[in-house]
This record gives sequence, structure tokens and C-alpha cells, in this order.
Amino acid sequence: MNAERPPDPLERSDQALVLALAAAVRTASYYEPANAVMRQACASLAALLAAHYGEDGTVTVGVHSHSVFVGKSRVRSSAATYARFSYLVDLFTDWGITTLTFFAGVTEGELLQLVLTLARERPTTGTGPAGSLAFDLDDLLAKRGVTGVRADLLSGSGAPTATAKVEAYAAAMQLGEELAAEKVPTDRTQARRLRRVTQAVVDQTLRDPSSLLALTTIKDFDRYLLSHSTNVAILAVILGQRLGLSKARLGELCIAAFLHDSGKLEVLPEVLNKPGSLDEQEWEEVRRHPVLAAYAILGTGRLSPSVMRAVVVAFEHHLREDMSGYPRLRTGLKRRMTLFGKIVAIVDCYDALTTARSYREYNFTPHEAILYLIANAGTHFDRKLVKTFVEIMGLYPPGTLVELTSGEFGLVCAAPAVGLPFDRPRVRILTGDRVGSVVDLSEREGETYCRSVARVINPANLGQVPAVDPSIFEPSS
Amino acid sequence: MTEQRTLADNRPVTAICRQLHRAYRDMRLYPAEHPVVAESLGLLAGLLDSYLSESGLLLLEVQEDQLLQDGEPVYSHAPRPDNMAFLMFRDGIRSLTFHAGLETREVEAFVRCLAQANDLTESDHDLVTRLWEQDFSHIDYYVADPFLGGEVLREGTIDVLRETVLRRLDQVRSGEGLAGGPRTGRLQAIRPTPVDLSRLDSGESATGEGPADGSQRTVDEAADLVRDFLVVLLEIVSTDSRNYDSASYGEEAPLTRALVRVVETYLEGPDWAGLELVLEQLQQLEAQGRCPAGYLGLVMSQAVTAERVGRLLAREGQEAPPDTERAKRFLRAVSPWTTSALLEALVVAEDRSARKHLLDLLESGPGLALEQLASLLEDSRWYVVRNAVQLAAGMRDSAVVPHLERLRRHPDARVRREVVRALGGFGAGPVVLRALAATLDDEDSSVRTLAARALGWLGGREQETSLLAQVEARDFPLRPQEEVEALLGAYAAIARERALPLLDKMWRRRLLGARPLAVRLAALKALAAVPSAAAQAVLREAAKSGESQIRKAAMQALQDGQSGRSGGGGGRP
Ligand SMILES: [Fe+2]
Ligand SMILES: [Fe+2]
Repeated sequence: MNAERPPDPLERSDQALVLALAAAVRTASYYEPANAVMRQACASLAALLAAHYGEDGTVTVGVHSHSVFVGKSRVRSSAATYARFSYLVDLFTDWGITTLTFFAGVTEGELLQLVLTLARERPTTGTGPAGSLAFDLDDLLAKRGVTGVRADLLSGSGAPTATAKVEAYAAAMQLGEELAAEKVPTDRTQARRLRRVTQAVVDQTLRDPSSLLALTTIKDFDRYLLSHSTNVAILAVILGQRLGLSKARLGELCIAAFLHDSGKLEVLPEVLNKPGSLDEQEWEEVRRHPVLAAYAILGTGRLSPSVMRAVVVAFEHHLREDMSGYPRLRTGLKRRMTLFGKIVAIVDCYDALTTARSYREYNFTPHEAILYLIANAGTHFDRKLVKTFVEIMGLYPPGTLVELTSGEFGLVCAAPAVGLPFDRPRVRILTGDRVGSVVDLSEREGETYCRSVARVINPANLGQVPAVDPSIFEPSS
Repeated sequence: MTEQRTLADNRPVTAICRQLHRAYRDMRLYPAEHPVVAESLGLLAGLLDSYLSESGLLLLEVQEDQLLQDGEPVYSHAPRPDNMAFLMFRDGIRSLTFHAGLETREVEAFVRCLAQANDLTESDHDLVTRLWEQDFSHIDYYVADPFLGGEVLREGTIDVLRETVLRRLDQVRSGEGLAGGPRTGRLQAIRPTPVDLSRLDSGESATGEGPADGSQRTVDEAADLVRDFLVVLLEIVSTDSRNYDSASYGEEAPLTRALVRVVETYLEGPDWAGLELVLEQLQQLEAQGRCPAGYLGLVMSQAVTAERVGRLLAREGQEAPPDTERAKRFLRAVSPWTTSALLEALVVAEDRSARKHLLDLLESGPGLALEQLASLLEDSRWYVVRNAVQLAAGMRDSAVVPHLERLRRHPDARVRREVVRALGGFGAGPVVLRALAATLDDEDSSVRTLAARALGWLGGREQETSLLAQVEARDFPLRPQEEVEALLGAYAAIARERALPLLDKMWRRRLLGARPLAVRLAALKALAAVPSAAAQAVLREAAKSGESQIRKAAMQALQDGQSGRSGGGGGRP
């Protein structure tokens, strides 16, 4: 994939420090303080800190724009370390921490208290407005005798506003609508807008993948193709990001995914929206759309690499791993799908399955859509990519209605955080005393989970349900 | 328009901006590895570093033609196309921030983006996209994009989304599954069936730390991208050709343009396997009737331009022989459709072996038509015309002669020289001889010289008078030695015995006024071409001259005459 520059030794030791901090906090969420693994994790962290103190006797670890910094230098993550980096970023974000400053002389005991506090008293996002943390982390640490570490917290104004979160999504929908009239961007201004909007989607995904993921569940049936294009673009970028693609590649992937069904607009709308099953001739029409899309994108002007990729993706997105599917291949030259094609094939299928259609007797829940992908991994879809997609979405993706072992009904509103078991999402409770609150199914009391999914429900054949809180659309004060 | 104010010279940032501009300028003037660029960037990085380590950050406001810090101008530059502020402003950038920790390679990448900004407008990339792709850690910029800004995002857009969510959530609340209200007591947790998950477990996660999977790691290589793209294009041609009318395969059709682009990319590479694939596949598709007959030719004639052929040939010799062979094979294969490109490549080719290669290709091809040459003979570039004349000479088609006759008056002497040489190759026809004789009046001595030589071995009595007129011209003795020799030699070769009186007079010293030695020596040389006893006698007399140079020249001429070698300018080249 993208060639990453090998890290220099200094960078590698920064990376080791970040990984050790993430590992220690993670360990603290699973093990008791007295556990040997726990002690070992704190000892490694202390040793790495000792190697890092600068002239002023401090080391800082900070998070800014979804990147981790040690001192002033940004520490890059790789595909292999992504999960641990992401865990740390989420941790800092949930606590509202911008920087942790470690002072020389901090003891292993203090570090143990620090990681226990961070891991076990982590505020859950979604329960209240940002900035309303019940306590000041610094005070809490002081009370526990941790004097060798200082936490700088985000001031309220720094948090992104609610409208900013939906802006990229709304802009993509609006652009899609404007382009729909012409199928594809035909002049330079439009091509430029397409780039800007897709860049905003990529930026927003890098900052906060889960809020965009939730937006993909809105599903506006009246404007199916528009929300479908936007959703496929978002899901593709989320998957691409997890694969460690560079920002430049993600930009290209986003454009390709956004345009993948361009040709569908040429297929007769009465065929596209026809209730009931299609006859052979109508199927023939539908099967032409990848080629029509590829052809339409070809006409957009200068053939940049990004246009080339979009053409390939449009052509490939209904092909299967074994090269069956459509369009039927004839030259004998095509023996494999491209990475982008594989990504879009998976997320396209997922979004199509989770979109309720008038002609379907039964609409898939997101959970069933995931099971469908799993069942066809290796034959229709790339097995590794499906696995990664399941890691992102969880087994009960956002938009799934569930009944919990507690007897409450709930709506999955966020996938499990990176590294957590993928059957443990966050759920907004819809019934009972706790209605409106968000629970994390990874919460445990001792060895047992507080709540688990008892069954997936599909009332009124709704399939997927919007997992977004409508208040996200209110302009923030 | 912003009002121009004087720069705040007392600010350290003014010096930083000045250095930024220098680095930007050097990056455009010098190749990337040039020491000047490195030095410039080093200075800039140093200045930024010392400023940032004190101030933490540097925030610049971008205006139409200046950069401001705290409202005070710290950079401006005329003319505008070289103004960095303008480059950024044009693309919507309204502010620029450098953060402490800025790395040298970020500085370099930033300056490179600016340096290429003007080339970028020609291409698909705009400056903002380029900066965005760099994914800087320590450089931020704010882009005022009316499309993403809240005010242009139509009010309705967000409202519609909100309505949709509310409507669909209502459906959930009325859903029968939830209508029963909360249940009590703990339920059993479900587990996905083992079969489901085991499907995934046999495959490693794509983000895992396991060994790299070759097939997936290489998909993003640029070369693969073009190949993947080509394969899709070929699939489209072979799948859907029946669905498009012939206009879909025209010169301007997207499919054609895309195939041309692929061939162009392969030629730039060059990627011989790719080129061979295009050839083979399109040939096959044509044969199967899946695309219009002649489609391959259409694609190749657009992609294979003279410039690209020239570059390919220039690379020959630097490449391994097998590649040279493939280049030859490819050019031969496409030569039926690329005659004019090959022709133009030939006329502009400097390198002799490239010319030979091109000549071979052209000669083995479908054959040159005079019409193809005719336009080159009209070309405004002198060397194109000259090379075309050379090609025309090779055609041995007398229909070329009128063109040459016309080009005798070409403004460039280098072309006229080639014309005279070419005319000489067409033999002693009346048109050729008339043209050559007329050329003796050319304003350029070297042209006249060539014409005289050609007449020496082609001309007859009709041209004798023209030659004589030149020799008797008042300025004749003052002309360059080469020309004098050529004219006297040609005259002698045609007039023979009749030339004796004049030549005999000419080698002698004049009583009144000086006859240049060069003329006298040339006359002796010309005498060698006159095969008569009288001419021999004249030469023998001259061989006894008191002037050593005359003596030597006469003896040489005697020798030349005996050995049958022609003296003077009358011999065939
Ligand atoms: Fe599709
Ligand atoms: Fe689709």
C-alpha cells in the first residue's frame, strides 16, 4: 500500500513510549493492580519515560487533531500499531486531555494510579455535553498521590460544534444532489468541489469516524442514490483508514466510492425503483450500470490517477472475489480486483442491504448484513477486508435494534471502541428507567459483563434504524 | 483589493517570509537536488525553527497579494504570478499557521507545493489538494470554501436530514417489538454461530501484523493503476461495444481519449509489455468485430507523436539491447498509422542513428506520399524544411522538383544549400539545370558554390554563359576562394577548350592592378580539368614561374590532369 518511511531511532523510541502508555492503560482495564502483568506494564512505562526526559526534566504526551505527539514531534502510527494509537486518542478525547506531562522522578506507583484512574473512571461519551466532566482529572490525581504527572484539559470552546460534525456529510449530500442532474462532475469547478467535499469527509473521518458512521444510518429513501453514494464514500474511507492508507489515497478512495454508482442514474428509474422482482431484460439493464458508471466517469475530463481509480472502482464494484458477478468479463485479462474495488464492493453491499426497499419482503438489520458479509467472505468478498470491516462495525453495527440481557430495548449507536470485543457496542436505551442513556456493553462488574445482546429485533420490518441523535442537527450555541 | 502598505521591516517574520520567497524561487529555478535549493531550505528551516521555539506558533493572514502578521504586512511581491500570497489566496487559503516542532521535510514539502502551484492549475490538482495530501503535522491553513461554509450549505439540506431522522425514529417507537414495554428478568446472551466467525478466523485481519500479502500490498502502485485501468477499458470495449454508436469510438470519445492516455503513459515509461498488450488486444478486438475496424490505428496515430518517438529513440543506446529490440518492433508495428509522426520525428531528429532508424521505418512502411512531405516543405522551421528536402531528395520522384525550384528562394541559406544538393540528385533535366544556373545569382556564397559544383558535372553549353557571366563579374576576384575555384572549375569542365584563353589570362599577374593570388591559383587548378595539349602547355609554362606558389600549383594541376583526377570544383562530390 502506501510506502511509509521507516522511522528513525528517535521516532521509534517515541513510538515505544506511546505504545507503552496505551498498553498500560489497557492492561489496567482488565487486570487487578496487584497483578504481575500490571506491574510489568508500569515498569516498562517508567523505563521508557526515564529515557525521554528533556533538559527541563519533563516528557509530554499529547493528542492534537487525532495525532499523538511526544514533545513537539508527531508520532506516526502504522497499520500494525493503529489499534493502540487509536485507543490512546480515544482515551484522551473522552477525558478531554490535550497533554499529559510527566515529571522526572515519577514513581511506578504513581504511574499505576494514573493508568488505573484513566482506565476505570473513563467518562463515557454521548452521555452529556462535552466539557461537563464531573471532576477535574488533575484534582483526582492529586487526591491519589500522583504528583509527578499533570493533565492539561481541553477548554470547552475547543470541542467541535454539533453542526460541524454533520457539515461534511450534508455537503456531500448536497453535492450529490447537484451532480445528479449531470451524473458526474463535468467542469473544473465541479471537479474541484467534489475534491473539497470528499476531503472534508476524509478529514472528518480521521477526526471522528464514529460520528460519521452514525450518519450513514440516516438513509433518506426518497433520495436513495444520494445517501447511498455518501454512505459508501464514508464507509470506504473508514475501512481505508483502518488499513493504514495515506491521506492522499483516502482522498482518491473517497471520490471513487462517491461516484461508484454514477451510471445508475442512466438506468431507467422505473426499473430501479420497481417493486417486485425484475424480468431478465430489466436485470440486463441493471447489470449494465457498472459499465455505464465507468463510461460516465471517463467523460469527466482530464484523466488523473484519481479519475482512473474511480473508473476501475465503478467497473469492479459488483464483481466478486472469484471474478464472477457482473459485468461478465470477456478479455481474460482481469484476474483480480483492486484494493479500492474490494473495499467498495464490501461497503456498497453493506449499505444496500441495510437500506429498506419497498420491494423487499424482508429488510436486513445491520447485524444480518454483517452476517451476510461474513458468510460470503472469501467467495464474494476479500476475507481479510471483511474481517477488518467487522472489527470496525462490530457484530451489531450502529442502527441495530437489540434487546439486552437486562430486558431493556436499545439501539446500537456506536461500534465497540478499537480493541474491544466486537459484540460489545454502545447502546442507547429506548425503554425502561434508563431511557435515553448510553451504555457500553463492555462494562463489567468483576468478571461478568453488565449487559449483553440477547437478540436482534426488526420491528415493522424497518431493517436499519437511524443511530444519530437528532439533536446533532441543532445549531450549537 | 488590499491597500499596499510598506513591509514591517522590524519584524523577524519579514525576514522569514523573505527567505520563504527565496526558497520558493530557488525551487522553481533549480533542479531538486541542487545545492542552492538545499541551502535556501536550510536557511528557511533554521529561521522558522528559532522563531517557533520562542513563539510556539506563527500565524500569517493571507491577502490577495500580501501576507500579514498581526495586521502588519510582512510579505509582498510583484509581479503577481510569482507572489506566494496570491497563489494561496487564489485557491481560497486565507491563513497559514506554522507550529513548533515543524520538521525540515515539512518545510520542503510546503515550498515544493507552492513552487509547483502554477503547473498544478494545468492539471487536475489544485494547491489546496496538494497541501491536503501532504498531511502536515505542523502546518495548518484555513481555506475559505464557499461550498463548505455554513452559509452556502443550503438551509434545507440539514433540515431534511433532521426530518428524516425524526420520521424514522417515530417508526421505531410505533414498532410492535417495542410496544410491549420493558421485560423483566435476565435473558440469555446470543452468540453468533461458530460457523459464521470461523469464516473470518481463517483469514488474518487486513490490519494485522502478519506477513505482508503481496497481492494486496501492490495494488496501489502507480504502474498497477494504469494496467488495471487499461484492463477495464479493454473490458468495456469488448463488453459494451454494441451499445454505442460509432461516435463512441471517435477521436474525441472518452474511451478513445482514455486509451490514448494509457498508450502515452506507457510510451513515457516506456512500458513495452503494456504497449504490446494494447496492440495485441485491440488487434484481436478489431478482428472479432468488437470495435470498429481501424480503431487501433486511430488510438496509435493520436498517441504516437513525433515528440514521443523522438524521446524513445533518444533513449535507445542507453537501454539494454532487448528493450531496443522491443522499441523497434513496436514502432514497426505502429508505423502504418504513424507515418506523419515518424516523418516529423525524422525531420527534427539530430542524431544520425535515430534518423537512420526512422528512415528504415518509413521506407518499410506504406510508403511516403508527396502530400505528406508537401506540408513539411512549407513548415516555418528552417530545419524541418531542410530535413524534408533531404527526404524529398531520397524519393527520386521528379514531381518533387517544382517544390525544390520554389524553395530555391527560401530565406534561410541552410535550406537553399540543401535544395541545391537535392536538385543535383535529379540529373541533368532542363528544369534542374535552369534552377541551378539561376542559383548562381544567390546572395549567399556557399549556395552559389554548391550550384557551380553541380553545374560542373551536370551542365552543358546552355549554362556556360551563366558561368562565364559570373567569372567575368566585376566582384569575381573578391569572392571567397571556394567559390572562385568552384566557378572556374565548373566553367572549365563545361567549356573545355573554349575556356583556355580566359584561364590562361587569369593565372598570370596583371600588369595594371592586382589580381588576387587565390584567383590565379584557382585558374591553374581549373586548367587541370581541360584535357588538351594546349592546356598542358599553359600549365607547363606556369610550372616554370618565378613565383613558388604558382609553380607548385601548376605542377599539382599537371599531376591531377594526368591521373585523370578532376581539379577545381567540377568533380562529383
Ligand atoms: Fe452498484
Ligand atoms: Fe452501489
